[in-house]
Amino acid sequence: MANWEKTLSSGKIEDYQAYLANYPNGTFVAVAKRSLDALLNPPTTAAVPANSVSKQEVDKLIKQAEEKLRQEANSRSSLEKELEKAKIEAERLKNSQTNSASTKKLFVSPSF
Amino acid sequence: MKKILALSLMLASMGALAQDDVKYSLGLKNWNHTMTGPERTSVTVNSPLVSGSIKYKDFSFTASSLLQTTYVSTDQTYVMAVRTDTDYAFGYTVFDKVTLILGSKTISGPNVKDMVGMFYGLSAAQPIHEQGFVFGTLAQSNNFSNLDGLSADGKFSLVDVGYGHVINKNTTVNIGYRQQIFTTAVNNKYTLGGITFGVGFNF
Repeated sequence: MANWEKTLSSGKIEDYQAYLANYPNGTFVAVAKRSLDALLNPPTTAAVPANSVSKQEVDKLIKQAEEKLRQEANSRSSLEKELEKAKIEAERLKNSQTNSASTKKLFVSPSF
Repeated sequence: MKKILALSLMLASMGALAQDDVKYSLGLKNWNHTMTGPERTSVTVNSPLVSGSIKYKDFSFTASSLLQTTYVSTDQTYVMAVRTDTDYAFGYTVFDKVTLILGSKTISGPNVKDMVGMFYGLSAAQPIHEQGFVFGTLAQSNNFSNLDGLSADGKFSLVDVGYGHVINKNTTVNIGYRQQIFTTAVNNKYTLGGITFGVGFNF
């Protein structure tokens, strides 16, 4: 590999600076300058707000939300079961009252 | 024929008197009983019993019948008796449970004169738990005519007790014990006792 190729592919600031110093009119001056400029002035990332949440916190919040949903689902399921039980009990009481021997409707035809 | 007519009239009246105050009850029973006569002779038979009652408020009317039953001697050599009972009774209920009864009983048989007697008694039913009840009927007659073919002062008594179970609002089943005692003017005593199984329908 040629010396200028090593320099341009190294990705090091000092290598670009050395190339530009040694070959100010080289073929790859423009490429070297752009690369050096990019290394010296890396694109700024958006500032992270102080109150932003980390990934861990996001995961935690998701887990909490999931847990809450699960609890609500369980609670709803439990309520539905209770409701079903209440319906069955009400039906039983209704039938019991209807069929009960204690009602005044009890009337036995005698035979002599 | 008369009893069929009476039961038919009762059933026919159901539609006309379809009110909450009017109640109807039908009963079917099998009475497996042993008749013991004055010479200690005994014979066991099954007798079907049918009854129908209509009740309006505290007043009731009942028609019941012991369908034709033939008592054959144990050795199967002769027929001791053939009987069909037809009963009518009016009732008045007190305390919601006990019905005072006044009625008439006719015992018919082929080639014999009808035996007839007025009777009085009471009938009651008492719930003992949610779907169970006990019931009982007591009746007595002191002037049963023609029991021995001649006299008019025979006696008749009835005890019918048992346990009933409510199947649904219209249907009950029951098991019990029923005993009839006929005593003739010359103190010949016929005791008929045995187990009953039955079903009742209320409307």
